[in-house]
Amino acid sequence: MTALLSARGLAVGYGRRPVVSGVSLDVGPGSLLAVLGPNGAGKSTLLRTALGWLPPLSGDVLLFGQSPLRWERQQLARRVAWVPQAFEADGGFTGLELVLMGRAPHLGAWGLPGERDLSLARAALEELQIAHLAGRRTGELSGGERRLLLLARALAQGPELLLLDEPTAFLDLRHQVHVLQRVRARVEAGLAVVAVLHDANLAASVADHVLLLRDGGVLGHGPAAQWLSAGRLESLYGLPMVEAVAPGGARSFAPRWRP
Amino acid sequence: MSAVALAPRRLATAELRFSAGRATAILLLLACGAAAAVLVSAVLGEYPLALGRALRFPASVDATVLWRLRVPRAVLGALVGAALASSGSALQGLLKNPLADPFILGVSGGAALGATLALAVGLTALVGPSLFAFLGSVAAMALVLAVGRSRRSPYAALLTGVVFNAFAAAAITCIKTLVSPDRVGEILYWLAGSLGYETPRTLAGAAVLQVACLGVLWRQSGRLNLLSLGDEDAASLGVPVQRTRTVVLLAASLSVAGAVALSGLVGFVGLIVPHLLRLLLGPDQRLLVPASALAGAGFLVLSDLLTRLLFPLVHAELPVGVVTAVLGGPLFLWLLQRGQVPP
Repeated sequence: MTALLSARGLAVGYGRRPVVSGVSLDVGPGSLLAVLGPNGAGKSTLLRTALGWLPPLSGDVLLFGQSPLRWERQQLARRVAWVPQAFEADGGFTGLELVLMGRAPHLGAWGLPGERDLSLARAALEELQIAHLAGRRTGELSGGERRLLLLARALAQGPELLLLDEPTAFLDLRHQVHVLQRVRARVEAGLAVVAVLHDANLAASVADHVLLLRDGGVLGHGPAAQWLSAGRLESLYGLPMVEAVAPGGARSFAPRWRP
Repeated sequence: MSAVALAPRRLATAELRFSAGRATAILLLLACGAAAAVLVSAVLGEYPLALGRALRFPASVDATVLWRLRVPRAVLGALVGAALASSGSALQGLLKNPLADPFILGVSGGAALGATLALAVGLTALVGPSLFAFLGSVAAMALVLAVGRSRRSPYAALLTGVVFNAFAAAAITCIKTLVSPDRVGEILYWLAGSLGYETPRTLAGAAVLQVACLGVLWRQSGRLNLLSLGDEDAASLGVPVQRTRTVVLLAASLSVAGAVALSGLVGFVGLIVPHLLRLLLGPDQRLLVPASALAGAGFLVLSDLLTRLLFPLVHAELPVGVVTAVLGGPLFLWLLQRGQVPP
């Protein structure tokens, strides 16, 4: 397997203090790695370092065989897309205009789209069932709708590697499932995905591998089926968990608590 | 059969407002408006000019007034207005701050301090305050860029500029208390922003500078759109963020420094024109930057015409900066009150 993103003994953080260290991973085409852990465990920081916005504090990270710091931005943007947790949009752009910005790395400095770019953007909107947002100003949309537009933008960008920072945050249940279904379909078609997720059940249904981060280190890394269990999640979140198997065979996890 | 089905397939819709065709049409319209403003400004004035006579008889008084006085002044107004409005649009986008006026990055303070120092010391007898204003604003710009670069936030440049302007205002007040009253009058008039007479050579030099800066800003305008999403988001879409920011700040500041050197501090053009156009045309900088340049040119030329037409009434020529402020201030407040200016 050729890894699109790989890390060896990686420590990431702001300034000099590592948030998390000792991360080693390989993400190849057609696989989805879910990153789980409590708030502040370094999940987003790991994505930022992988994209080259933060230098690694120690260890190595390689994107398509080269340090992310050395990639020319536009070259990299043609191959890697990122869905941030939130965006500070100037609310004046329309949904379609925002999604079309995903085509910017493939266009000149002016970003004038052609027919193909336009149809890719519209297809991405259709795929996420948000074609009705095309003409709406992003400033008027809800957090979940903006999220869906960012996801559509990443799909329109046509990357080989997709980095998702809590893609399901703010989404209703139907959209959570639908979005992850669409992402999973792209993974089956060869896309590599790293997704920061908070929902262990969604992770269990879409991830091939999981990376569990806690207390500045790696609690576990391996196949999802093996590493997602009530016991592991208990030590990950410091919360008693129960595991149930649904009639269809899918495993689900829930915190065990009394009011 | 509906009109939609019959219409040829166009890229510009309510969903996607930027297309080469629409941009060209809007810019042509604004260019005609700016040209008309220059023409009206050249014909109207205290001296009743007959355009036909001025064009047919190059030796007539009319021709002299037209070519020596009115046209150079209209061209000057157009250059300054274009510079202030296009830089204003680019800086508002870059700094993500609707209040970013082109002078905010220390340029006004630097220019004023440079010119005031030169006026106070008496250096201006030789070359006029323009050169010193230009030097002052370039020095301020260099300071803001140097400090702003060391931090990764667009607010660093903004804050440095605001702090520098405040410092410069204090220094100018200090100088004003030390020099003679007639010099103070000269300084105050210059600071209020006014258009006067410049030689064709100066105008040509200024035109080259402004066209170059506008070209750079327009070329970066697609990236300015992406930067409005945030630095990291823009970077993930392939924008070299630091480089783009430096290039835009440099081009905008040079353009404003050039404008300030010619006209002093003409306020509101850089604020009101981009905001009005944004309201009419949407947030796309690829259209806003050139459209602001053309509309700013027209607006300042007409404002200057107003100062000249008011001359018989007030028996003095108001600084054009006073007219733009009197026109722009209430208009801006009205827009803000209607909630049309994005917060």
